[in-house]
Amino acid sequence: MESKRKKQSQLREVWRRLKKDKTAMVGLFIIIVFALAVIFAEQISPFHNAIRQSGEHRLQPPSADFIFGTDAFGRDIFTRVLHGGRISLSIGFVTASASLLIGGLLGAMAGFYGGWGDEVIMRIMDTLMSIPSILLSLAIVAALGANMTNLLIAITVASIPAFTRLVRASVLTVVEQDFIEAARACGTSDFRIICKHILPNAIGPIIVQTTASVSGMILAAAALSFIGMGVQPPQPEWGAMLSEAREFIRTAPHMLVFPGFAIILSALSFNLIGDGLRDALDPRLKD
Amino acid sequence: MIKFVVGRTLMIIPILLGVTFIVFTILYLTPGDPGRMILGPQAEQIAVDMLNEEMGFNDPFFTRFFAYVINVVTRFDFGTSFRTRQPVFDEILIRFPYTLRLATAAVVVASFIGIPIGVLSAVKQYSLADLIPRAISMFLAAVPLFWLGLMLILTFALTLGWLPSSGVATWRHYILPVTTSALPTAAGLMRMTRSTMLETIRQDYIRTARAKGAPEGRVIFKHALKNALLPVVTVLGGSFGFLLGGAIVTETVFAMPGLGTMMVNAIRMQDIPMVLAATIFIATICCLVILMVDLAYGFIDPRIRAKFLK
Repeated sequence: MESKRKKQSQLREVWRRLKKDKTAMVGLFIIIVFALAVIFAEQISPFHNAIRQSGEHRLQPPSADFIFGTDAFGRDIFTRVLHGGRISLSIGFVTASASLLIGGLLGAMAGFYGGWGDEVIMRIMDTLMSIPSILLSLAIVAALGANMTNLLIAITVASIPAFTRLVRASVLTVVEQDFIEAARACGTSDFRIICKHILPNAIGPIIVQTTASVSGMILAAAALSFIGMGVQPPQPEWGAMLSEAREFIRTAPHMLVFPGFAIILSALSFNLIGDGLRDALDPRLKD
Repeated sequence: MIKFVVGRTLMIIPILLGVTFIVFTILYLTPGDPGRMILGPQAEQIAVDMLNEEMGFNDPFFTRFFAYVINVVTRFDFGTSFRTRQPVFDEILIRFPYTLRLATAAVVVASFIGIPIGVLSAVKQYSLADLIPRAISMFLAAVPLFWLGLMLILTFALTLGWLPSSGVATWRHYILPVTTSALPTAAGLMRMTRSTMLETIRQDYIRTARAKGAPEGRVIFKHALKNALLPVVTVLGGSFGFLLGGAIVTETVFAMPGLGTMMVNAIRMQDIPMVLAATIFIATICCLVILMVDLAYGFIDPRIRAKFLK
């Protein structure tokens, strides 16, 4: 009971500091708006508007009927950005959670047990990290084929090493401390020590990294889709939309503007929240 | 010193072997029949089978892997393209100069923009000279590279007509691609320089330098910058690798005939030896650049050297 109250007050303290950070709050606000828009996308403008083609409305600039204009097939860009957000934002969330889970597990094991397991895991991660991540993703897509699932796998695999390193480093700062020794002496199981004692004390930097990494993953997914190695048309992913828009850069530049802004705003917001969280979790780091 | 150089250089061998193994394994998973890909859908099944047997595509995984490594090490033979039936390494050598030029120019430009602005923003912390560059770098960290490139084309090539939008014929063709690649890197370098500089100017020896009456310019550029730049140099090595990878996207936007566009085409054509060789080649270059940075670092900083001498 006592510890629960303490945990709550710690969280409240972090939230209190985060609330004072105006830029982080702007980021949070934008993300909440985007999330709501994406969740209620079907109610705001149904999916069939995003793929219904119309010959008479091709390449129209923004107007009262089509607030973001239309694309080369006469499809409503607003609806496409909205439903594209479903795909782009989910890619960000799914890949960030998956690489956190896998990388976190590997890193926690490496840091907690040490020894040859640690050596093997970390040498593999070092090797993976010496391949530029977009190249690694591209090689995976090349082998498995270009579609949404493989894009998720490719981005996750390329992000795992960074998480493994981070979680391992965080675990190492905690694992030598006396209270872990005490827990061991009480006969607590390894699993329980890791989950109950180590992770809660090492969680700060992990939360920050995960939040900030979502933006990197949104950008990576957009880049891969842009070069045709990710989500395939007619699916309205933001990067894929920009890839289609590229051909009409002379005649219909409005096609470039809105998907681009959607990517920038969401990536920027996750970075802002990440920075805010870093300062709120550890005020000493703030310069 | 020799021990340090040799020791650090030898460390690259297991890493490169590991890289080759990982990329080879990933691309080994490609479905499809290599003999069929080379000969096309009309070829007789028996010819396909014979080609597979002859080229060793039926051998077990490890036999193929070791054969590949031995060919690469002894003869620089990275395999034969499924599409052109020419050695892929020749094609890589033709394409690589464009990518190298782009990445090198981008690193240089990014350093000349990012580092001075980072110093300025640390020295004038909380002033406008700090806030504006930080806001811009926040923005650049969130902009997709290809979108930035398209916007530059729209502005400087299509609307103003100052610069060409694609190709590599003259140095003017490189201005927009280099700018596209350099800006996000400059933003990262600026943030890094700023934070190490802020850390350095709070150290005691800087206070000592000021106390003994050294002029401010001398304190910043002679005493502080020298130490603050060390971590920045490491980041520079890493960003070169990032730029080589990013070149895939930049080259696609600006239709440059470098390794990046070659790779994208090879993936579309399912030309696996080409993808394999290009990936290993770029990863090797990245490792070599990081090696050079580490060696340079060892010359500058005796603490690094000491780690290898024990």
